[in-house]
Amino acid sequence: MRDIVERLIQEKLARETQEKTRRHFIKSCAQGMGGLALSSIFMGCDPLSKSTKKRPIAFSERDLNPLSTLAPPFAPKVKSVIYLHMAGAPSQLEMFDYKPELQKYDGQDCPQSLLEGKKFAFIKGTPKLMGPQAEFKQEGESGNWVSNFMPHFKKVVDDVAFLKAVHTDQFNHGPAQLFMHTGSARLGRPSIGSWATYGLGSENQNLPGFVVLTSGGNTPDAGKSVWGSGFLPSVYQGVQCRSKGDPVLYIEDPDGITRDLNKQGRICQICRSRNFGAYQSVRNGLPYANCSTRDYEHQQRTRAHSANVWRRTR
Amino acid sequence: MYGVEPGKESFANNCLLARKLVEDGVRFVQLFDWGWDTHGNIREGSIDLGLRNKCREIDRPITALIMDLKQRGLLDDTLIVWGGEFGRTPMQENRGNTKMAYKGRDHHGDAFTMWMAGGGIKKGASHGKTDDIGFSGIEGRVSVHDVHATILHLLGFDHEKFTHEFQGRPFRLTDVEGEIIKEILA
Repeated sequence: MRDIVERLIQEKLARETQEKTRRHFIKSCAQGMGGLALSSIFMGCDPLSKSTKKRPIAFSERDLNPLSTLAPPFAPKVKSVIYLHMAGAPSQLEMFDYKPELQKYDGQDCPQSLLEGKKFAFIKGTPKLMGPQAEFKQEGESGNWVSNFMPHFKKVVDDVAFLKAVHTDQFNHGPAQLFMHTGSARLGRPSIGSWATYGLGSENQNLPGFVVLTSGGNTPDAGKSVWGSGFLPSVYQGVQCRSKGDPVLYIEDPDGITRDLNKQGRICQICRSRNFGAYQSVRNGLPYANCSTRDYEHQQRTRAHSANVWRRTR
Repeated sequence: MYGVEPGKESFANNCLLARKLVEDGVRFVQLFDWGWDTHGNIREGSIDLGLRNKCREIDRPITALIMDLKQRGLLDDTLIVWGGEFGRTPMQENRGNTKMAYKGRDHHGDAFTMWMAGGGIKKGASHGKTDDIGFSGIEGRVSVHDVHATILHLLGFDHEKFTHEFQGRPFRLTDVEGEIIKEILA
């Protein structure tokens, strides 16, 4: 087993030497020529970049642990968010937005004035209006409308605040989901969960700061980008926890690495020192090196901790 | 309480897990439940049958989640957001100008409902109004960026100042838009 570890170290060293050569070459170029555009490209990926000047202490702590907690600039109202997304788009007209008038026009042609200049995913020509397919009642002290499709919900209706007129300019699932979670219908932006963990870190260092849980037999149409970290360091992306097999992919040790060997944290220690060395050796750092270190260590702790949490629902 | 079925992939299990994770100090828990695309082309995707079943799958777990967080004193420290990526048309879908097998509605982004609950939220509020048939918002229209600005506000951020430098310029979640929806804040 020691041989395997030694071989892994050798491989890692060889790779590091290759990387070092390239990074140092670029570094000297950037320094030598000053305005070389490459330096700004690296700067963009680096939490140490411009923000360092404003909040040096917080970010140096973050150097070692990117998920360490940070206080937000203003007094927060909440510590955590649970975001429930109904992928595919639920019908507001059968759940919360009661439209008795629509029933009167049921079966009639939709007025042309409403169709002009509008784009629909599938509707062609002149569609017919369709009345609500559920029955509604005013519930709770607030008297907000809830349909008979949601009979339990009336118990908590006075706890929620409705937004009845949200709008989006996207009419297909993928782009609309991206827009809803990243603020852009195009790929590449960080998701809201990534922004939150980037800005605040997480209180539990033994679990991911941003957890994604899916149900309904499928993942969102827009794919994993809806919980991606975009241009933020990858450590802030959502971690999908699965209901079959290992809760988190690759949480178990690979073949040939025994738990006993890893328990001593030797592999993590080696990776940490090597990666942090790489991180420091280039002026702007190699943020990914640090993220991967963090991933190895996090994997170890999450594995121990998640069994505890997951047991409850299995 | 939640209607949990151990060992199964379900929205109810995920709601219980979400409560547990938040209790353990996880910052952001994102649930995605698939199967809400009710065009009326198949039974599962129909407004009167499929949607009723989907509602049944979430109704009890969501109610339990809010009540459970409340009874543990966690609701005031947690924000729950519910919604989809858009809403659905007041018109019945007529895919390819034909009559559909089941009742369905097409995608519609002009007006749809979302809700929030938890810390900093005005309990029992209702903001915004759609026209008589629910086609467009006529009062209190809010955008996706407004929703984001509000969530960041509740987490303690000014969405206009919470930026990340990338390729030479600062980026925001709300781009160049977004206003906090004060009407739903306590």
